[in-house]
Amino acid sequence: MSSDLRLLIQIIGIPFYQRNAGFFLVAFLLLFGVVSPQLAISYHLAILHAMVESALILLAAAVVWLLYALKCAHHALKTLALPENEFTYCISLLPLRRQLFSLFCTQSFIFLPIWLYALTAVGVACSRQAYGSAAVIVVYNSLLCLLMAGLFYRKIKHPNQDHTTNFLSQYLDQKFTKPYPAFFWSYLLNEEKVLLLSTKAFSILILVGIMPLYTSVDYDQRMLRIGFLLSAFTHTILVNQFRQFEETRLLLSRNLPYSLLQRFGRYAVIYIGVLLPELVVLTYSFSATFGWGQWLDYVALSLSLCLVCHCFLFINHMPSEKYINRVFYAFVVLFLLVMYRISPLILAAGLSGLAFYLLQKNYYRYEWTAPEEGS
Amino acid sequence: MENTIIRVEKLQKHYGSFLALNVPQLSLEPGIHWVKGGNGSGKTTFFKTLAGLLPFEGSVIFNETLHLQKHPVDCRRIVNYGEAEPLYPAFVTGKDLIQLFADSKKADQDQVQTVMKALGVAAFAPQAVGTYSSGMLKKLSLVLAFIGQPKIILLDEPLITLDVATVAIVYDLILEHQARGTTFLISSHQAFEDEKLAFNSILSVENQAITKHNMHPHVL
Repeated sequence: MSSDLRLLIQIIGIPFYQRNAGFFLVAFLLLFGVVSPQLAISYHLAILHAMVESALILLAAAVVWLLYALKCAHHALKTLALPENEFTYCISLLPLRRQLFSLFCTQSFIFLPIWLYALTAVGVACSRQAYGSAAVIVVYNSLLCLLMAGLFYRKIKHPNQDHTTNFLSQYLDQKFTKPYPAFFWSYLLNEEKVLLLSTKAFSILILVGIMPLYTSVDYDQRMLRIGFLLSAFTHTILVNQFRQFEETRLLLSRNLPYSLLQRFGRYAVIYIGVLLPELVVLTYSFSATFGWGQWLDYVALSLSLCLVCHCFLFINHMPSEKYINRVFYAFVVLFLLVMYRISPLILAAGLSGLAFYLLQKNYYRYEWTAPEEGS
Repeated sequence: MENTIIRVEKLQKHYGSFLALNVPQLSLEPGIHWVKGGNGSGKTTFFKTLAGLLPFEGSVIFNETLHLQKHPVDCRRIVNYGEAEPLYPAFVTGKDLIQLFADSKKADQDQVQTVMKALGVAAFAPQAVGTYSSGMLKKLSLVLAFIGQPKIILLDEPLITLDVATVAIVYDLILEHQARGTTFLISSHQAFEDEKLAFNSILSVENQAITKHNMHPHVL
């Protein structure tokens, strides 16, 4: 392996998997957890057969692969833009063919889950003599990787592009002063667009999927609450990003003379703002059997969960992997409590109490340590 | 002891198993103190510890009454910190940050405007921080360090990246605040060529320890 490829794998490839451990866990659960283990292989073979035989399903797969490629590109471009990776401009001094090969391999490395699924589809297509589909899959994914490699090449060739702000942002910046919670919302809107969009899409999709069941018939409320819980848990990765942002870019806020209660209140305001889209969706879903009571259940449960995750990250030595692990256990425990018909308001009170306890115990003892290389 | 503004006792700061700072005892009287030391000697760690940005073992007492661990909010009200290499979110404006600090440190608007004007920050404050040069970022961090009613201002390498005219303004601001009773701890690799600042002591940070050399205030 050439030195430049090894370097690119180290700064882009490996951190991609470390950062997205939670994403891959959720994807794995969705792909293999929805059917029993005995049926998992035949279930996926059925999907692959449908993919190579139906142009429409192949098109749907192509859209999913494109979205994943964009996620990869977002990560790689963001990583290359970091000040500590400025040195990568030296790669642009290498011969063009070598540069493109290394960048193509780097993209393929982070594209590996898609390549594995796509090449299995190619195998299925060949076994059914659908050589056209096989060729489309190989060419399409190769082109995606090549296109992304081209984007990385451009970024390496033009490091440190001027930071520009659009006219609307300039106007708003002149007219208004952002309050502290807006720093976090701006962070999401400016630097974590993909994460924000995917979190909101997933969370709202769960709510929209479950709400029609409660528009006319008063079903067992536990299912609704499990839906609330799932929607709330989609925000846990976002909370992790918030904490990293707070520690790296707003470290000086620790020097501000706020009491812990004031800080806790500010975090609550930040997360209410983050949950606003879900609250609007729920407000528009009011019916004879769904009203303010359930709305309040959702607000309390999701807000307290975000707070407890945020404050949990004030515990020293809490790498992302460990955090995701604890989040998973928390989901299992809360799932069981909901099944035992514990009221969401009681759960929310418990979680909020725990969040404040964690903040009080750890805030002044906490010291941020940079994640393992690139993570 | 009556005239002690900062008292440090049995202070130890570890990064993992590495002992970054070890100060058994240190007392500083009001005035201006020059913190000197090579790269990695622990100057920034010392400043960050006093500013309440890092946890530590031991005790730090301000004004003989306020313990950093027991009175975290009150201590943060009287200690301001100007970072050596300020890092702020690229999409917020200087104005946003200044307003946040002015509100929390209870600075009056006249004072804020005066400091902004003196350092020439008013002109670019409405722009997003991501558009700033390193000198502009430094000026913004100095505004944040000077506003409010601090009794102690910690300035970590305040002169780097500043142009000659601004360096003179920083000296003036320091003297102005000192006249009002503010104590300064200033670290700098550069010699203070301007003969305006009268240092009370030099704090040599070396081998994770701090040694105080009294100057019996005289002009350097």
